[in-house]
Amino acid sequence: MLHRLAVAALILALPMLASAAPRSQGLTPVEERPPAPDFNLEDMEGEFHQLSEFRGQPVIINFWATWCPPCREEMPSMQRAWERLREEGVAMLAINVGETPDTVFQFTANYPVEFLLLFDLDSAVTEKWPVRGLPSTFVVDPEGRIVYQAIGGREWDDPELLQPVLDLRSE
Amino acid sequence: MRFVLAFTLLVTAGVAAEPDQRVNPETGLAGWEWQDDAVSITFNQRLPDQSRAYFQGRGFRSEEAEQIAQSCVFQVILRNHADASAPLQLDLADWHVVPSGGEPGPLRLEPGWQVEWEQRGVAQGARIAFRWSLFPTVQTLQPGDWNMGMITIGLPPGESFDLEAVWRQGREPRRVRFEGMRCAPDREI
Repeated sequence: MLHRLAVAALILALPMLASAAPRSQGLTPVEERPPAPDFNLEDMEGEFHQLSEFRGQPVIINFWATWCPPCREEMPSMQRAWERLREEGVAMLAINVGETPDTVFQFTANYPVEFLLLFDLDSAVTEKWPVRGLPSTFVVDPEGRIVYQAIGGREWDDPELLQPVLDLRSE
Repeated sequence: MRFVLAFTLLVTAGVAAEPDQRVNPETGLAGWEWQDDAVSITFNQRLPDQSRAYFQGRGFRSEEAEQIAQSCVFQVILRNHADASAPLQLDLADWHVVPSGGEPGPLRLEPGWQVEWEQRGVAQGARIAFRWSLFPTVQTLQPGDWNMGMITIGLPPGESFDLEAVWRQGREPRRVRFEGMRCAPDREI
């Protein structure tokens, strides 16, 4: 009888154990590797940047907005990731969707970041990328193709998450 | 032994399929959550006042923000935490709202709102913020992906309803009915 109760209790506990397990986070490979749409966007200083400037190195491109809670949540880990990646030949940039540099300037007082922030004021660039929600992040390989994507926030300083990006340098 | 196992499996299947309701002790707002080993869905009430403040802050005029606020806004969080390569695909056009004692109807979806905003000359910045603030109508979430956004139920504040959420996990169609949900009442934050 005790054995039966133990089995039943274990089975009853399985869904709770599953929900308590740490949630996986990762990058999804984009099998078809489409060419990443180029852009020409302004940064905080008013200088324009094209994606093609970064050809030859992996690029992490994050689409975000200040009013998006998971975007705000992942910003500090993106900064920590950038502190490692900038020494490793990987570029990182974040494209703000629909807000002004003034708004983002105020935001960065509380969320200081050193990677490149670009402005897609009319959302036209965002519409050309396969963005379905914010935040969405894409990894572009040195040949300018989208090779990974992540929808929703991540802990970007997780070494397991960054390793596939670093591996792109030697492909 | 076989009977016990079959019974416990039946019971646990029932437990997994039952959405859980809770109330935030600080705000008094209700939330509904359902999860199994592959997906979790959470709906959180948003007060009309929260929607007024949020959308006016994004560039909507007060009468437009009021219209959104009166449409029963919920925050949705959807996670695909399946281990296997099982993408989660959904189209909010397939979801149904069943008002108390009423007929099933659709959610009020983002593309429909955008038609109205364009006709009413809503500023482009506000329309962009609206687009990206709402939960995407059609999307695919790979394992590890998750998304958060707002949905509009299209009922007045305080109304009760059931919500039928449907999606596809890999090739398997899934359906969960959230019973006894309620739009947040119209009170001050």
